[in-house]
Amino acid sequence: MQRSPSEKWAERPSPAWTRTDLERDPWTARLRSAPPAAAAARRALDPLGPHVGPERMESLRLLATELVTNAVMHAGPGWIDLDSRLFPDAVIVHVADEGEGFDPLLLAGSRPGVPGGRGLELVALLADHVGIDCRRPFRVWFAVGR
Amino acid sequence: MTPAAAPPWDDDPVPLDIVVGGGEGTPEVRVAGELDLHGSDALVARVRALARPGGSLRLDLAGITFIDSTGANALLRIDRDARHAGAAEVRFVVVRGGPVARLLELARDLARRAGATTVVADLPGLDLAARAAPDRDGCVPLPDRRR
Repeated sequence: MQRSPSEKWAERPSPAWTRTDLERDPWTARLRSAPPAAAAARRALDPLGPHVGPERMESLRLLATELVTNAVMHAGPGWIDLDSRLFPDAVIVHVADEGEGFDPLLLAGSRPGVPGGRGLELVALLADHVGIDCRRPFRVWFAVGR
Repeated sequence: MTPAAAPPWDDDPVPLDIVVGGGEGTPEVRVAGELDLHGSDALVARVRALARPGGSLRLDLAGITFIDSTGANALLRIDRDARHAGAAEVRFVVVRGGPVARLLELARDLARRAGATTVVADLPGLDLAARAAPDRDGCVPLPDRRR
């Protein structure tokens, strides 16, 4: 599919989506698995801005960045899908990629001697809930209170 | 053999501004924008050549609006590289309560929970700027935590 330059890294909903839209339908931003996807993921969360507190929004941006970066680094080329959905008290974001997934214990805490940026530990620290779906496509989700 | 094609993101602008100033042996680098996977390698590469034996290196990070664990690790690499190159002093200026300071605090939380030091928490030479605007005179130096 031919994409315009602005659509090259992410397909995203219009920032004009209302809260009702966001509560009714989860939306997907489809990112190309490459370094610019990290920033594209943050932009893709923009529609949540008016409906989530600023500190929570900052956590959401960091959480999505860490998981998308992890996918870019380890899942190889392909697509990364970022699904977001607004609930009355929480936001839930799923990050799916085309890779093989990772050991859930990497989310559980420190593994001394394991190389890496500690991004997954940061996810476990920041999110109110976090989980992994090991079916294909591999999927990590996190929930943050609004 | 044909040369490998450039990665398709090579022409994609990194959301990061890097301005090098200061004198020979005492470079000052101002970094503004979003420091993540896309800009980290570029920043490390840009700063690597600047350190001089016995000199100092100062990174003004007050203009950073977003940083993640990849960016924090880039700062650590910069610190290590400069000390390897013989720099006598490496200092990072960050805004008190700003994105960089908050991420480093999270990293210290992780270190405390793990009962060990994380790489990020070992970052020495941190100045916390008292004001939101980058202002060298407003910097409050922390005690040097190096042994």
